[in-house]
Amino acid sequence: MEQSLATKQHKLPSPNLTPIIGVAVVIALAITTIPLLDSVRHTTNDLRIDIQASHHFQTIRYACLFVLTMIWGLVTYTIIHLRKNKIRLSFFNEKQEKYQDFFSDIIVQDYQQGFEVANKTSTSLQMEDVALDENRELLLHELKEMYINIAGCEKSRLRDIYLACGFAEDLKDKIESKKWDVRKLALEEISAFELTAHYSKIKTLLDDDHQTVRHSALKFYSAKSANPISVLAHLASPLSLKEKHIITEEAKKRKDKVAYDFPALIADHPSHAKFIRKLSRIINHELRAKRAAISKKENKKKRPESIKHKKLQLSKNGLKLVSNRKSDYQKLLKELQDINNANTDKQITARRTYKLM
Amino acid sequence: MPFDLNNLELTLLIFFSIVYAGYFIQSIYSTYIIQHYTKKRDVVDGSEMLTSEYLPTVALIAPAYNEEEVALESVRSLLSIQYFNVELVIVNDGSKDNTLQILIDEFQLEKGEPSYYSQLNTKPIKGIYKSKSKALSKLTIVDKVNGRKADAINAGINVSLADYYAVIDLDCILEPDTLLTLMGPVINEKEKKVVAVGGVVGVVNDCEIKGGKVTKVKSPETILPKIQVIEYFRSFILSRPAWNQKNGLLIISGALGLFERETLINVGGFSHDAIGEDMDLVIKIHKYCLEKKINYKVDFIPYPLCWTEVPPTHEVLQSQRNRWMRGTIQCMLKYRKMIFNPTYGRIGMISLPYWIISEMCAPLIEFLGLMLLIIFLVTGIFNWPYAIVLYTLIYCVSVLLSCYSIVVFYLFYNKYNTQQDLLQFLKAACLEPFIYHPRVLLWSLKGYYDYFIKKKVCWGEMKRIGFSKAKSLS
Repeated sequence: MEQSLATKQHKLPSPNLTPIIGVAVVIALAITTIPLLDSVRHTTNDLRIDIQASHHFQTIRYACLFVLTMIWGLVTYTIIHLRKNKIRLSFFNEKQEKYQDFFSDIIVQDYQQGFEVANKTSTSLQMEDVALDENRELLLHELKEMYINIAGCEKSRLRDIYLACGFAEDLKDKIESKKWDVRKLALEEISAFELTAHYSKIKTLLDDDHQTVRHSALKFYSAKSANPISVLAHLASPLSLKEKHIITEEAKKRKDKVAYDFPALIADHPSHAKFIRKLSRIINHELRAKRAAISKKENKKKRPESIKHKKLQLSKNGLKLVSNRKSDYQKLLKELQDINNANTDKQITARRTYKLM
Repeated sequence: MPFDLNNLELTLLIFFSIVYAGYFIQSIYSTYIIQHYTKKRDVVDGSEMLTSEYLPTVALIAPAYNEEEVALESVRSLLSIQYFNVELVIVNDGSKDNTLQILIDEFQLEKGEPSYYSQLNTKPIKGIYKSKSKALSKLTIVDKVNGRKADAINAGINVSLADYYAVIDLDCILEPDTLLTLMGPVINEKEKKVVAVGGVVGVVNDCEIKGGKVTKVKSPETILPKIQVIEYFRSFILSRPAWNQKNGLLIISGALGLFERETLINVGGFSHDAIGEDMDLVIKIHKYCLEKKINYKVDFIPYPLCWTEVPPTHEVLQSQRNRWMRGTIQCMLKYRKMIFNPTYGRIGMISLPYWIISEMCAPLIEFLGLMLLIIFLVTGIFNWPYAIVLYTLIYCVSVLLSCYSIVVFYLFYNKYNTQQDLLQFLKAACLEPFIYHPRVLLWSLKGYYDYFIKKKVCWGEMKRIGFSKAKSLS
């Protein structure tokens, strides 16, 4: 979901109004200021000139021009932007298709050759023109999308492609980028492609200025660190609900959660005691539910079939299933007759069930 | 001291410049906030919190009074909302039409055991209905004696013990992720207590609606709703995000607002005597939190989360604007002790004085200007070239602000997509100062007259025509 939203953003970039406003302001100021200076000079030289007729009048007149220029600029920009968006959208769709075909071709080709013997250097050569493509971000996005949704040898092949394209080399700059969305994407990249060499850099992002980056770092750190709750030591108190949710979700996903020593955790992080207690309740509740589900399953397997159940089974499956022997057949007929003649509630229920079947 | 015309002109020009400079600063700042928010919304996936154990419970409260035309469509829309811990409370405020019966028939409701917590005083409750269907277990209908909107909401609050109350108008259509988005500030806030959250309200007239959802946003076909769309753009896009950033927001639209339970109960819920109960509540919350020195936050989501029907006829619009003006006057007078009182921080020193000048006194200042114009014309001291240029400037600036709000909505929200709609809105923006604004001025002045002379404090009736019928009527 996050990925698809990222694509949406990629396709429809946030418009930046600064340039158009800036240009409009400069033009309008130029139109306004030059005659205004003349007007001011004129009034200073000749005090007899009626201010109402010159200075104010000129100011307002040029202010009108300024405003009209702004309106014109805004409308033109919007119309251009709407048209440009359409063109960009079709362009990106085309590119996306091209990249998807490219990755699929490599995988199919390697599959035919056998992944072990596939000539990886040939792939690197093939990739040269794509890797140098100007839309590297889109290429990376497509690669990441495919990587998440694929498994086995194909997955590791895609990882090779990722490394061969040189994306990992850009990561350092991306993590230190001033743009929060770039930092977030870098984090996701490290996490998705499991780039262990960059894991240490993520710790610094736990204190990032942007909330979204902090949350992504927290998610990553909770998932990858030896103990997800150890992140509490790095977080300022109090925790937001979202932060609590992230830590809990990652703790739930882990297989080693039985090993959590909650009293010790409370002792280590007394300021988060309330949260840890709730977390312990959630984890224990989940464990209990899991155990209950397992034991229910096992009990179901072990439980001997009741006589009534057997009868119903017999009636359900017909006489053929029971036996071909005459004695068995007669025995069963008698049993069914008994059910038909029954008077007790239990027997009536059994009869009804039989009739229904 | 003799009356100096030049000084008057200069004063007016300075006043005009300050007011419009204020508007432009607000607009640019709001655009910056919207740009950041929409970017964040595109990247962050909020749905991962949907099933979280940490998600606070929310009760959606919708008062209904004579809403038989829109009731079904709206309740269906509300039932499809994405949120884990939500309950839906519809309060039938003594409707004279078949609102209750329609709901009973459609949702198989039956009178249940009332679980009513008398936290706030309300008019008597006639019955509490629950659905027989398990799938609708979260739906509760409260039938009560008529007591106006505020009373109905308070009754809804008494029925539920949720952590937050989302108060909406029944004629509104919510986006599926509305509650999750509104809870965003609550979920992410670490230190401050988020006591109220509002969002952008869009206009649904002539839009395509299917299954209680807005499937295609279109510009209204008639000029009156079209101009109101631009008004909504200006208010929600160019003003509120900027005020919110400085925690100076004085109003959360009655169409959609989220309030924290404890604070809402402590301030006594919605005021029964308030004409503009939404504004009254927000100022009351500010007052309470500032007096109790609570580290609080009133937040605003700069994204369209709710779609409402605006009055398509002059009669209904007149009644609405009259009520808005009376509500503003009532609030400003009620909380006058907060104005320029340093105890109330930004609210007392900036927000309330600004609201008085720009909202409450604006019709009076404009009326004064018109009177002056007549006097100048009669006395023959009217300078035609000067006046024409000045009025042209005022007109151009007004159109610029409208155009700017349209452009921002277009560029950041991707709701209206066609160039045709854009040109339609631009046309409406150009016509607004001639065909719409004088009427609004007149209705606002009538609001003054009704409040001070006729002492009219009732709410008035807002007639709904229903989403399906709106199109055919227009």
